[in-house]
Amino acid sequence: MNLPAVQGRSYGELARIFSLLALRGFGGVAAQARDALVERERWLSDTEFAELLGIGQIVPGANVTNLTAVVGFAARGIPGAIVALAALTLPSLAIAIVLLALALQLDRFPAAIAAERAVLCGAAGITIASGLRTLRSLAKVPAARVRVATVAIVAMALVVAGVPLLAVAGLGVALSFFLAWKRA
Amino acid sequence: MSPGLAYALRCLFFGISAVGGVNAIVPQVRATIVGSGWLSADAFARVVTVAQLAPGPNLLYIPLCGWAIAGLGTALLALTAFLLPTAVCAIIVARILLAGDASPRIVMLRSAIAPVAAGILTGAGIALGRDVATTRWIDVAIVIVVATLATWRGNTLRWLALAGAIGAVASFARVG
Repeated sequence: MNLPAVQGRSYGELARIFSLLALRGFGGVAAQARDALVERERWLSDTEFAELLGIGQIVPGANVTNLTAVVGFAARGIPGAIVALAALTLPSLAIAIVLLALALQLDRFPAAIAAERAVLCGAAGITIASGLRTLRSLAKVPAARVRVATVAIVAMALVVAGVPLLAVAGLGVALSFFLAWKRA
Repeated sequence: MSPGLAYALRCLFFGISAVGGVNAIVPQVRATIVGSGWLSADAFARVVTVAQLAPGPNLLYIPLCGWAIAGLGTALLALTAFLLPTAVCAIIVARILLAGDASPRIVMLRSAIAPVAAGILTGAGIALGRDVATTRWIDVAIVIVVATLATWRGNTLRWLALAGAIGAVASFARVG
């Protein structure tokens, strides 16, 4: 697989990066995955990240777990994919189990929910920003600028309007491919 | 068959049918679990809430339901059953699309995918903000301020902490 900066990364690096980004991932991990893999560690370019996230969106399952499997596989083959997926899911699962056990005992925990809502609002803002930062980077190629903006705005509007993600992905890729085809 | 094993087997199908994201299949999972009497409707709702509150990927509610039904073994089995087919599928597709010697048409398809993913990400953030920030203006303000700051500067954890601090102060001062 052609992801030069990922190839040959160690199991330890995979475990560290993916467990940390999952533990920062309130309200979804896509924004944290971009922050870690693109901005801090530079394992992926913005273009590679967007391509992988898009592939993760189109095949069944969660987009970020699919991206994680692919990055782990590119680094160390099948064991790498297993290590990366375990790092992404198991520490978070342990926290969730403790929280659930507490919630079952306390019955209700309004204080935690109130505090959490502000963080979820922040998570929404960060997810928007991740999309916008990726777009800004994709639009750096002048020839692609109009196509990138058109396709992204259409996909964004469809998601906000509540169209199922698979339909958005299918329609968006068809439109995007058609626009690229027309130019070529 | 024990409920734990039966649930873990169903997770194989949940994974494959989660086309377009794991949140899309919550109603299907709920119908299966509550309909089979493995958890009450209230218990299922609580599991989904806790999974949302905990940091981590959106699919946490799948293994967490397994834990609530029959303990840790079922949680791990359900997680594996859910992830295995989808991860294999993603790796196969990525190997074709990201091959170093890909044909020009594959390269064009690949570059067609990227802006769609970025648009979906932005839209998902807006949709999450709309769902969470429903009534209080302070919540809407947090979404907008954090989106602006993080687009400008990156470094996301700092802005999450800021959001939490604003929320805590606002709730203390009964603002919004």
